[in-house]
Amino acid sequence: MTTADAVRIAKADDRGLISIGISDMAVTSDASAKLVTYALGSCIGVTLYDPVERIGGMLHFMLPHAKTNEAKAADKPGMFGDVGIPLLFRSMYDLGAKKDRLIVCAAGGAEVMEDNGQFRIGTRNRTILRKLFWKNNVLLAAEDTGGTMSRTMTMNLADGTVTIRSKGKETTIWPL
Amino acid sequence: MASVKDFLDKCPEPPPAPAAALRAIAVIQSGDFDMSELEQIIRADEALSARILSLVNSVAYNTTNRTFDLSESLVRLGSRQVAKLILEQSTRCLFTGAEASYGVRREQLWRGAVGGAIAAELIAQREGKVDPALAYVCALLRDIGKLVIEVACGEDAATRMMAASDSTCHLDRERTAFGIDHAELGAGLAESWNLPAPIPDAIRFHHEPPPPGDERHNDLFDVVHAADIISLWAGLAIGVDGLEYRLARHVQEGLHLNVQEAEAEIVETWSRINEIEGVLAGTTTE
Repeated sequence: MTTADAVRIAKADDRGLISIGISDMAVTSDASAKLVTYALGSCIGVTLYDPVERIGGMLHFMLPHAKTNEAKAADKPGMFGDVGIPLLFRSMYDLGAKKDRLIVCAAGGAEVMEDNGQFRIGTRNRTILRKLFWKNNVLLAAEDTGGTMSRTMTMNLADGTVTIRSKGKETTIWPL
Repeated sequence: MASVKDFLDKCPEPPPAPAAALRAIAVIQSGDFDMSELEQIIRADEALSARILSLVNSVAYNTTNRTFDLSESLVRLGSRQVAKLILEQSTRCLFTGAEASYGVRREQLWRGAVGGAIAAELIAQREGKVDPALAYVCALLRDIGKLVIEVACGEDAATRMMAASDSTCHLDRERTAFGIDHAELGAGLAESWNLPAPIPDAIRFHHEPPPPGDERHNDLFDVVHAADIISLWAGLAIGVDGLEYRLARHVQEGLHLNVQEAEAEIVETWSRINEIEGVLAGTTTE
């Protein structure tokens, strides 16, 4: 699958926003835009930013492994971390981003209460993220993960600032 | 604990009973899925008629013979599918009629309702202990209590809940803030609409289903509870309450729910929600 098939090269709406839905991803070189994804629960939002080219990308994946439903993964790779994350990186490279410049942030991966360890969807999402990054020498610049809360993640393409809104409060996680 | 009646009395306008949904529920409860009764309900609702025609002519039905005849469309869809469409459309009006609730954008609350309903139907079909149509109805209506809180407390509702207590359980915060939680309020609203048993109790217990051995235990409540958790994992309608609900241990064990089945049901729920929205996108204007 090529980048053009699965990843939107997005333009901002009239509010300057590019909204990323569940199982969705987009990349953009529109430096006036903000990428935003709402209500991350056990899902994980990943942002990439190249500060030289001012190119950004965002993914909102729902589950860790494409083997859960290979047909759905082929149609909607952003649903699964193990295929969505590599595709997001490739899409950024296609736009001109360089790996050694990328600033990578993540948020989400929350859990319901008293899951006895059988499911741990949020934790398993965090694990696939870390496993892929470790294997590919990618460092997380900042993250806000775990807990039980909902999070909205926003990245400003003008300067790469990543903010998290949760429980009525907004926090900047990058720059630190 | 505050009484449901006290709380409903505080509402300037309690959420109205969705008339088409109540009639469809009566047809589902009767078990015979009388198509003539369903057709009467649909003919009284312009948006519903439009949606039926759109669906039956959509690629999902893979038909080369387009039809704009409502009666023929209903036959093609089948009575069970028609009953579900009536429920989805009429509860959509109910949920999107409210202002943003629980920090969730208007349409999202309805997505969560339908997502839970789809998950409940899938689990009921897999387990074979509970009528899938009834599980669908109960899960679809499980969060109507949130509408009551929103109508009674307006935009302050979310702030009051977050400030109410340090508990990590959202139901505790609702009880501290309002003297009652949305599950109990939803059950009360369902009773005020004269919805038949066991629907009000399925709403009442959707976060805290009584375990086996408790005389109130019911497999239906376990299915609705599991469906609610599946819809959270699918990222549907996550508001200020986040994932701050307990997953009942007896439900994990009793429904033989394992991670592979749960993930497959999450994908199926998400996919079917998007199909429904695709059809709606062609027939409605927001």
